[in-house]
Amino acid sequence: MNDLADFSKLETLLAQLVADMSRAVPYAAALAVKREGTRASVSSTQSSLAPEPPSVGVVFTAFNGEAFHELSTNSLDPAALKLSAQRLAQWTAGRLAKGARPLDPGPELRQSWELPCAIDPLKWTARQKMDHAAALQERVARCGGKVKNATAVVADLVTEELFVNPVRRLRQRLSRVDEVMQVVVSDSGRTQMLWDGVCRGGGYENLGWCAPRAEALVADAEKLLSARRIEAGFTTVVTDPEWSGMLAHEAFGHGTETDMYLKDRAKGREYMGKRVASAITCLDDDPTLPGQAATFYFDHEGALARRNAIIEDGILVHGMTDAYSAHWLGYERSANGRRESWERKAYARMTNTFFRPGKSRPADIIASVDEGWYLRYPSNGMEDPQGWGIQCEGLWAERISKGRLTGDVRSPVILTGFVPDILQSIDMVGDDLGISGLGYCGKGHKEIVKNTMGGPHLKFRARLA
Amino acid sequence: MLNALIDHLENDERLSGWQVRELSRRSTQLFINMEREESRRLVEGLTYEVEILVTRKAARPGAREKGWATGNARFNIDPAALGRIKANLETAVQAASLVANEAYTMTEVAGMVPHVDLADPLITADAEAQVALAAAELREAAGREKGVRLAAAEFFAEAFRTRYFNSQGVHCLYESTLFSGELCLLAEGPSGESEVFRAFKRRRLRDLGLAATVAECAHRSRRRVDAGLPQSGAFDVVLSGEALDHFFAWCVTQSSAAARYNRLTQAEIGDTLVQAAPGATPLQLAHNALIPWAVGSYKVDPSGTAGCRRNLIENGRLKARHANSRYAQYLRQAASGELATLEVGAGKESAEALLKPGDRPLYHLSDFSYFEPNGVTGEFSSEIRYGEELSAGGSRAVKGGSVSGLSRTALETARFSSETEQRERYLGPRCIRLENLGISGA
Repeated sequence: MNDLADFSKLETLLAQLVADMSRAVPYAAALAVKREGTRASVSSTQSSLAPEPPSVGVVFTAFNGEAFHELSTNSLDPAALKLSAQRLAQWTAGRLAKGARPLDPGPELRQSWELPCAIDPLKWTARQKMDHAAALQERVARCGGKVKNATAVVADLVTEELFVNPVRRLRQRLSRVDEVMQVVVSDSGRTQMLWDGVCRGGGYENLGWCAPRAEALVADAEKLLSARRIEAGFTTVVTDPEWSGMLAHEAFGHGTETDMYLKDRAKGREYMGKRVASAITCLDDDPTLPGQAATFYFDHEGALARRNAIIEDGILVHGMTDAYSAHWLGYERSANGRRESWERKAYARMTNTFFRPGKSRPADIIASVDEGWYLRYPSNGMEDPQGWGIQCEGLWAERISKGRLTGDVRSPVILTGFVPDILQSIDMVGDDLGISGLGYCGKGHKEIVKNTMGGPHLKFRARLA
Repeated sequence: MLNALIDHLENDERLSGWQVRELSRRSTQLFINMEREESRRLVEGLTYEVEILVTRKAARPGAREKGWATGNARFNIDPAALGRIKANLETAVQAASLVANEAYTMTEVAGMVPHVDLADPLITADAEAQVALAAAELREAAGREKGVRLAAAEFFAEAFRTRYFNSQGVHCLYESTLFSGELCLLAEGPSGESEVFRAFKRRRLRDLGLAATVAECAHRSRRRVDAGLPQSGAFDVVLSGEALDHFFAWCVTQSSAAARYNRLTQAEIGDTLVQAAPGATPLQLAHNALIPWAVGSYKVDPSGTAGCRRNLIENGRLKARHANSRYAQYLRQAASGELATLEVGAGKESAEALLKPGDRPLYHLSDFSYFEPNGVTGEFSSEIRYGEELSAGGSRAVKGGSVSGLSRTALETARFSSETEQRERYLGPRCIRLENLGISGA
C-alpha cells in the first residue's frame, strides 16, 4: 500500500482537506475504511483459501444545509484526494440551502480505540486457519452415515476506520472471526442442508464453538429429512434465543430505524412513547456489547457508540438514528449511521439488537405450554415497518404438548402476523440470553451490513405455516 | 498497473494459471426523501481482481484426478497497492499451496467473444442527466396518481469498464451499464396509509418503464389500503411479478454443475425433474447470456467463459447443466459460463384465461415480503404483501398471511401464460398458475 494506507498519515491529510472544505460548506467530514481478512473453507468436495489484502476507500461528505453530497474513491494518491475534496466542496458550495439549521458536529474529540482480541487474526498463519477448518470439517463429516457433504469455514475480518470532521478525529480497529459448519444430508431422494456457527468480535480465541455441537447438528439435519410441514394456524410459540433475535431484528429493529420515520415508512414514529409490546418486553440496540460482531466505538458518521433502549417495559422509547434523519426529526443521535462500504451511503442501521432477558427459566417456559411449537434454526426474515407485518422463516418447529417437547419435528416453518399483536402477546421472557452473529442485514434488498441479533427464550402467540 | 500485474503473473513459474479482471466503475447516485433530495453521491473505483492456480502432485496419490491437485487463491488489489504486487502474490501462492482440489485449468480460448449490447451510451456519456431524468419522470408519474404520494426513491446510474486477461490467452475488454434503484409509494385510506415498494435493475433507464411501474404501484398501494387476510386452506394461486424472479430456484439448483459436484443435488442428465400432468405446461428452462440489454447478459463471465445460450431442462427432463469453467472441467462437460438470464418456456393459455377462478376462489399474488424457495428442497413460503382473491362474485384485495408449497409438486400441475416478460434475470411467462398451494390466512 502507499503511505496513506497508514491511517496516522491519512488522518493528517484528511483533517486538512476537511478543514478546507468546511470553509466553503456548512459541514464537511471524511471517512476512511481499510479492510483486510482471510476466508478458509474446507468441504468434502473442495477447499479454498482467500487472503484479502488490505483495501482502502475514502468518502468525503459535504452538507449544504439540506442534503448530503458525497464523493467516494479508492484512489489514495494525495493529489487525487485533494482534487476530490475540492470538487465536492465546490459543487456543494454552488448549491447551498438558505436558512437551514447547521449540522451538529458533536463535541470536540480526538481518540482511537481497538477492539480487544487475545489472538489477533492477522497473526495467525494461513496454515493455522486452514488446519482448523480441515479439522472441523472432518469432525462434521464423520458424524453420520447420511452426510453427503460437510463444510467448515473459518474467516476473519480486520477493519480500520478513521472519521474526521471539523472537531473530531476518531480511529478504531475492529476485528471479528467466523467459525461455521454446514452439512448436507440425503436419504431416499430427499436432501436437506443445515448450518450453525458463531461470529464474534475479537480474534481466534473465539474458535472452538462448533466442534462440540457437530454431532447435534448432523442429528438435527437427519431429523429434517423426514419432517413434514406444520399444519397452518394461530398457535402458542416458544422461540430459542436465535429465533427471538430474528424477531427482535425484523419486528422492531427495522421498525425503529428513523430514516424510515422521515419517509413515513415506519409506524414506529406514531407510537413513540406508547405501548407496543407486553410490559415484560424490553429491547435494546447496543454497539458497545462486549465481544459481539457488530460492536464498535463510533459509527460511520462519527457518533459515539452507546446502548440505546428501544422498548422499555413494553413502551417504545427511542429510535435508531443516522445523521440525516436525526437532524430533520430533531432526535438525539444514536450510533446507527452505518455504511455497507466506502462506496455506499450511510443509513440508520441496527448493530447488536436483542430482547433483554426476563425472569423465567427456559424449562419453565416449555412446561407452561399446553399445545404449541418450539422454534429453532431461523433462516431468514423480512421487515415491513410501514404495515407492521412480519415474515420470519426457519427450519425447525418441534411440537410441545402438555409442557413437554415431543420430538415431532416439522420443517420448514414460517411465522407471520401483525407485529404489535405478536409483541403484546409475549407472556414469558427467559432468564437466558443468546446472541447470534452469523447474520447480515439488508435495507430492503441491499446495503448489507454485519449485525447481531438475540434474546432469551420467548413465549407468545403467532400464525405459523 | 495492469501491465505490471500481468508481467508478475506471467513470469512466475510456480503458477499453472492466472487471470486478472481490471474493473473500473463510476456510480452516480440520487436519494429522494419525500419532496426533498436527501443525498447525491458520486463513486469512483478501480480494482484488480486476481486469481492464481498452483497445480502440483497431490499429497495423497489417488485422492485427486491422476494424482494432481490444484490450489487457487483469489485476491483484490487497489491502485494504492501498486508497490505491493509482489508481496500480495507471495501470500496468494502460499495460500494456493495449502489448497488441494481436483486439478483444473483456466478457461481456454474458444472462438470469438460474442457481441451483446450491455452499455447504454446515455449513461456512459452523462449518468447524472439520466438520474435527473428518472427523478423528473418519477415525480411526474407520481403526481398523476390520485390519493398516492411518493415516500422515497433511489436511483443509481453506473458505468463499468472491464478488462479480462488470463494465462491461456483469453482477453476481452467490454463496457456495461446498470440503472437500478427503488421507489416507495404511499396511499391514503380510512385506516391509515399503505405502501408499495419496488426495487429494479436494468441496463438502461428506458427499459425501466418508470411511468408504468409507478401506475402499477399506485394501483396496488390503493388496493392494499382496504385489503384483508386471505382465507385459509388449499387454493389455486397465480404468481406474477417479483415472485417469478425466484420461483425457479429449485430448478436452478438441480441444473447446476456446482450443486451437483458439491452434492446439493443428485440429479443426473436425462432424469425427469418434473413430470407434467395432463394440461400442465411442460417445463422448458434455458440459460441465456446473450439477450441484448438483459442484466444477466455478459460477453465473458468472471472466469473468462464466453457468454452463450444453453437449454437446461426440456419437457421436465434435465438436458444439460449450467457450469462455469471449473465445474465444467470437473463434470467433463462444456462450460456455459455463470448462470445469466433464466429463460422459461411460455405456455399456451393467455394470462386472462389463467386468472379465471373456478368453483373455489383463486388467489393472484404479486407482492411478497421475501419469496425465495429453498434451492435444495424446493420448499417455499412467504408472507403475502399484496394479492387479489378472485371468485365468481368479483375480486377482493388481500395482504398478510402466507402461501406455502413445494416447487416440484407445484410445477407438475403448473400452467404458464403465453405472454412473456423480461425481468431482471428472468425471461418467461408473465404469470403462472399453481394448483392447491397452502394458504394460511383468516
